[in-house]
Amino acid sequence: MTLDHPPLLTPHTHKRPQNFPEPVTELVVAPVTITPTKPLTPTHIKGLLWTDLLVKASARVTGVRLVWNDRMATLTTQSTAFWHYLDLTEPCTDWSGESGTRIGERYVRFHAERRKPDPRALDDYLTRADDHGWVHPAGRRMLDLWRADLEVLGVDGLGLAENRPLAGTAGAMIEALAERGLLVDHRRFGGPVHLDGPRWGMPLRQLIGGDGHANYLMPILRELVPMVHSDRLFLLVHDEELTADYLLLERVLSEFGAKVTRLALSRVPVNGTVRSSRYGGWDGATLADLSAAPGTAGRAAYRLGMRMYFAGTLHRRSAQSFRMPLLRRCVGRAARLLDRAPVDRDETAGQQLMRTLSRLQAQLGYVDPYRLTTSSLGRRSTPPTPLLRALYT
Amino acid sequence: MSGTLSGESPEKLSEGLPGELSEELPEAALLTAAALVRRNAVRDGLGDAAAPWGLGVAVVVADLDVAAFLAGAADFALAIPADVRDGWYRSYTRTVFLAGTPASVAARHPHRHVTTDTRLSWHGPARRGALLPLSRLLRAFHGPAPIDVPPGPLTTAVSGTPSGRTVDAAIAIGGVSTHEYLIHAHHLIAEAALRGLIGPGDTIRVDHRQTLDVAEFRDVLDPARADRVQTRVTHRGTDPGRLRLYGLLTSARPEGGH
Repeated sequence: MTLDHPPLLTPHTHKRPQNFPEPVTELVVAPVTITPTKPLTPTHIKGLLWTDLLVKASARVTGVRLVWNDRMATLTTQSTAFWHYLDLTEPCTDWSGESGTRIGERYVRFHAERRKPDPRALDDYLTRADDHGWVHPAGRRMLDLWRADLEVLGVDGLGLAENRPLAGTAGAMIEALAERGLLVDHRRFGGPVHLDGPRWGMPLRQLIGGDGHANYLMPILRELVPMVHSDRLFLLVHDEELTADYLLLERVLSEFGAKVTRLALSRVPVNGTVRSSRYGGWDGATLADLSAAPGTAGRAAYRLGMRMYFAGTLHRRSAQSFRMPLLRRCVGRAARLLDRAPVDRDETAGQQLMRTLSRLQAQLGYVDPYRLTTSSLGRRSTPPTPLLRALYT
Repeated sequence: MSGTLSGESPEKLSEGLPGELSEELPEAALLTAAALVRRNAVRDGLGDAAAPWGLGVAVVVADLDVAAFLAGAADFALAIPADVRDGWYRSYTRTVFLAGTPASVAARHPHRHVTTDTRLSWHGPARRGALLPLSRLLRAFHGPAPIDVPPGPLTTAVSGTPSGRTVDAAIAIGGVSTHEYLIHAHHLIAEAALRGLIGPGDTIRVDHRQTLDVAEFRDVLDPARADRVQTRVTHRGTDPGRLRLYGLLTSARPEGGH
């Protein structure tokens, strides 16, 4: 074997020469975190269903590990500032019976009031969330509600109850980033810590504020960097709006030797407007609303129809507004497909599906849910095979 | 623009330079006089030629070594080509401080000067629009903590063949944040260098003090000595009604002389 480069040129880098890449044997899927402060909107549902399908389908052809840890979302000022607000405004409310919509209304009001909390008041919340996995009762209630709705939807493998310590500490992460020269650290001037995006032509990005509080990028790095291994491919699933941040995350993870790819998903507008859930406007289109919508379809048809709609009619960049009538048609079609007995006596359909999964996995490193759905559940598709049923219901 | 411009509005200064000798002036009037001397000097510019106006400078700050910063400010000012030197001077040496790593921006945004420790770089002088891409890539420097300077008098050498000359500066640090220090010290050093009060190879000796007592510097603040003196006088951050002496520099070189 000969190397491409003379050995003297390579000692600075730990990367293996390009012609001997280590084979990837595990796909690590890391979806963007959702703070348990509001009901799940169509944008969230799209992300969750894409993740669910992607993980289940890819797992048939490669090793897959899903990174979901509630602490990545609860250990943010986005969550804790809201919970601090609830403690100030409603110290006596019993959250255990509150509805998701009502909690979400408070979240919208909190953002509308634009109250800037005293940063020191959040210290204790963040410490408890980091050290003990503390979640505010309103957050716990929200997670319970999500879990119940996602169970009906068949999104059960995400591990939504997972709240474990992050893989690395903030201190160790800062040190590791500093060692690689990736930080502009102005803490000693009372200032923030930035990630040095400009080295890649990207903007400087704050990681820790002047108040000492890290933003949502920090828990992601703390969880993912310690997982970096040469036989893993990281897939970052995120909102399209966060692409700048995720391009930067991709570069930073690569600096630690990770192989990284991204899947950017567009938001699903409701009534024609795309907006962050902190502004509300999700009435009638939350996951709770959808699972409670009257209909005659059974659970399997609901699960299949939801996937056909969110992963089969909405592609990754779709700008289409949420369309309840189209969703209903998908669920109706799903019910009819499921009513027909699968014709799979010679198992050719099953083998064909496995070939499709392998082909899609080879294309991107993961099975793209939209391509899978349109190719196996398109207009002239045969009734779903047992394997397809397992993936979609 | 994300940066903070440190150019001030001299027109806010109260009008009128009292005609009496400085010994008879109360301290507040001395400071007003010093601020007006500076404003008039800036208005007059460095030369007779028409200069492009409205020029700014951006300093990229990765870390701060005070001695490197002060010498770097002088080195930079002395390296500015003649055709833009006056324009920046007439713009009150307007400067924006940006958080960033010089090496990371150098390829796309070449600097005019970088310190040997590579932690500070200077860009411009240029029209605002020309510095905008750099400002957008970086973030405004944020340094609210009190400035931390090495104990004792500090000396730092301006690049060039040693001239044997020493320039004396006194800079206030009491109640001065890191960001404010950068602004005050940069105006002081850069304007002095542009005026020729600091030259290549000079040594700058800096006395950092909690406050600069106007009474102590009464002689130096005499407008009659203005051609060998650079001052930094501006409103106090917390008390916009009152002027404070933030910096003072005296040189053996008369203005314009080398």
